[in-house]
Amino acid sequence: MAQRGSPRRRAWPRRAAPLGVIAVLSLAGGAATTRAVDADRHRAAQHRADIDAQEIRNALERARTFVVGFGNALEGEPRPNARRFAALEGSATATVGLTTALWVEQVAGRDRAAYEQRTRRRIKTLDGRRVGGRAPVYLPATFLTGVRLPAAVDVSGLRALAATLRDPTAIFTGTATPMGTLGGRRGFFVVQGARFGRGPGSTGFLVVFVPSGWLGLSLAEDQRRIAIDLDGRRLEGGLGTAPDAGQTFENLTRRWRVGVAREPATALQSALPWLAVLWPTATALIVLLVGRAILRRRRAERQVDDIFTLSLDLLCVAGFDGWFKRVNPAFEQALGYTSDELLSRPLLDFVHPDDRQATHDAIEQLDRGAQLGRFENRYLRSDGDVRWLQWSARALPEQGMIYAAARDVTENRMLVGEQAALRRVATLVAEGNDPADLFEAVAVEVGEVLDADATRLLRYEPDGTASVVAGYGAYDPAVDVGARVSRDRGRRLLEAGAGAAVAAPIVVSGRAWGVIVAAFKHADAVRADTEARMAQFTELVATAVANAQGSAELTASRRRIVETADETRRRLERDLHDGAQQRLVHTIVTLKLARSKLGDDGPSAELVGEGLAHAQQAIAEIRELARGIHPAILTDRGLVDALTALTQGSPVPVTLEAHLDRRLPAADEVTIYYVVSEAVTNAAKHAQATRVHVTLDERDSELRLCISDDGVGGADPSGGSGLVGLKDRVEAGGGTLTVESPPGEGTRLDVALPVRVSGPAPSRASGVGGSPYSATTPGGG
Amino acid sequence: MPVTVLIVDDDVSFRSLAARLVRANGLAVVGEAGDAAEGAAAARRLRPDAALIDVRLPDGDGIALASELAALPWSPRVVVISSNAQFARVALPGPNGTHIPFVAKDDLPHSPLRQLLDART
Repeated sequence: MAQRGSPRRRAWPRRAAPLGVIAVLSLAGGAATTRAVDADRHRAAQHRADIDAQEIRNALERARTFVVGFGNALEGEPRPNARRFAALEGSATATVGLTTALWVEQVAGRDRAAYEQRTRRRIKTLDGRRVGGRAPVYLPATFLTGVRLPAAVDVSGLRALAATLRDPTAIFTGTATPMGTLGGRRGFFVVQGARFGRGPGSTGFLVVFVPSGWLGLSLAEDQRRIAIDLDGRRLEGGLGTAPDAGQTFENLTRRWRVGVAREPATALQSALPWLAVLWPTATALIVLLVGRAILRRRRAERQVDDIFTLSLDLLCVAGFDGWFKRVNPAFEQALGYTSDELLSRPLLDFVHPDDRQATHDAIEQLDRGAQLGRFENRYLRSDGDVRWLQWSARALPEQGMIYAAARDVTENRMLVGEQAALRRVATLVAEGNDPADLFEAVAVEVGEVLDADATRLLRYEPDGTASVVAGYGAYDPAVDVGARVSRDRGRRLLEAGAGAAVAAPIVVSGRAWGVIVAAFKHADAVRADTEARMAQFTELVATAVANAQGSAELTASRRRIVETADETRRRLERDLHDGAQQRLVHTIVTLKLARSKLGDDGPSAELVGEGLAHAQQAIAEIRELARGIHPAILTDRGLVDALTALTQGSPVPVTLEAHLDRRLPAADEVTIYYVVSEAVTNAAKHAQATRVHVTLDERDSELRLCISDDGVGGADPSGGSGLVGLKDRVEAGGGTLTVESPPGEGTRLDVALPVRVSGPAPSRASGVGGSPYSATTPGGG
Repeated sequence: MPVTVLIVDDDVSFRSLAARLVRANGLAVVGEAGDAAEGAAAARRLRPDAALIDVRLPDGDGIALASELAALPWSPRVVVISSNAQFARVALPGPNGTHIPFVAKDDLPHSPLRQLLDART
């Protein structure tokens, strides 16, 4: 825990300091902005107060002007007249809006009766009662307009007005009274000494009532935020608090003050302090985020750079102009050029000439916005070597750039090619084809896979020489296919003409069978694993040779068994022929002679006849037995005569077409003989055939025998007939025996038997007309 | 002057039996031989009118010997014999497209030997 905690504690002040600075800045900013906003609002209120004061002044001036003008108009009248008073007042009211005017006279107490007589009205108090007693001075309003008061009402009750009127010295052209009320309305009076026409009652005061609210009408100001004071008393305005700014001035002999409250704060003014408080934090946050983004971007760029540098794949940036803009070290390494060299020439210069068109096309495709996957082309290394590269690329047309990654697949392709070659050779081995074909294939495949200029496959012969059994590529004629050279000379010849030669021995069953040699013009074409790669092929060759040897040995062994048995039977037949058969023949001849001497009659002749019959029966049986053991005629006359004899003895008519140019190996002759014998016997015994056709010829060192009949068919080739043993015998000779026997369609038997070596020359047939080895016989009984 | 006959067979006892049969047919046996080489030499020395030759001889093929003798300048008549009757079924080639007659040994007593061996018949 302590270990984890301490770095945190150390980190704390470092983090706190900026936070503290931000907090202080926020508070200071908030305070300063609040003050600035306050000052601004105060200045705005003061400005409004100045404007409002001017407006009020103007309004007062309008009121004074109205009174002066009214006074002037009254002076032009011939005599005081209530109707005229109201008319004059009304004509001016429309423009000024002051509707209440009074014509007040100052009547001494002693003149009251005269006044009342002149005006025919009694002086009354404000509440309409007759003024009792006697006052020194009365102030009756002779004419009134705009107020519901009786005429000749004494305005002494209106204190503010009365005080002013009682001191005429204070009355100038346009004098305002202190604040008072009239008819229940607050306001002030503008008073002026005036003359109304001529004659009695023409001197008096013109009084115009300015009601509270009239001054404010000319202001564009909200009544609730203004206060208009007259001599220190609130005349109008709804401002409830102390005004923020004010303006005081003198007018109509009174002191006026306009006070205004500040306007409510605007959204900006309200927000500014908060903004001031928040901007350091916000700025800090923005700085933090931007900083982090920049750091991240830097880190990502550094990582990309690292990947670019460390990648084992070949990475590059190329322009649509066909030049590399940037390549990574793997690229330099794979092609053997420095980055500067690669960037100094068009990239197609580095491409194998055969692939330039395809590469050009691929770049154009990218230009058009196509994605490129698995494009492969060849590049030329600085040392002339060819490397296969597999590409994955993407274009950014707006940048005019291509971003591409490549992989060196040369080894892969070589491996794939090599595997395919090995597979082909292995297939040949598995198919058990002629080893000569295999040797040829191996020589070519090794040559192509290793890129060798020539290969030779040599087989060691028992006499210490070596035979060239297969080859690829032209070389010294002394080691052409078929040549025979001493083992050492063969190697020397191959090594002499090449920059380098690599040999891999072919070992069959632990014995050096031969060698395969690959020759290279350039020594650097040989790689460390060349010999090992050749060894894969030599193992296959060894397997094939061993297979072929094994197969050949097996065939030879089976054949030897057959031949040994044949030989035994031949000797047996010969012994029978030379012994019992000869004696029996002698006996028969003797008996025949005896019988002819004795004549046909008599008991002696009868006995001789009986002995003769038995002897003849015996010879027939021995002959049949001997023929079963070994057909003597085969040895003495060959296959064709033997078959002729055989078929002529058949109970079913047999057509024989047999054409041979020579005697065949004894074992093959015996095989064919017995196959025909068995087939003909089966045709007669089982197939109920009425005709049998036998053809035999030899083509391309292979005997072809075909026996067909018109019997019932349906023969089972694996059945119990003697054919099974014969099939073994045919196969022991390396041949095949097939039987086709669809029910009702007869039976057809085919034998193909390779003939190994030519049989003994037909020495005793020379000089004798006609071929002893061919027969065409019609079927006979 | 009786027809002279050479008998070639490796079996001495059968040679004498054959000689008896030949003589019984009124022909003269001028010589006998036990194998092919001997037979060929005897034929050239004795110049027989005819020869009776076993198919199977210790040193070779009696049919070949018969063909060889038949081709001699005086064209002796030749007949091959064998205890094996199968040869009767095949044509035994002689010189110039001719065929050599065959008789099974056990049929010799009743065979027309004289016709076969006597060129004058």
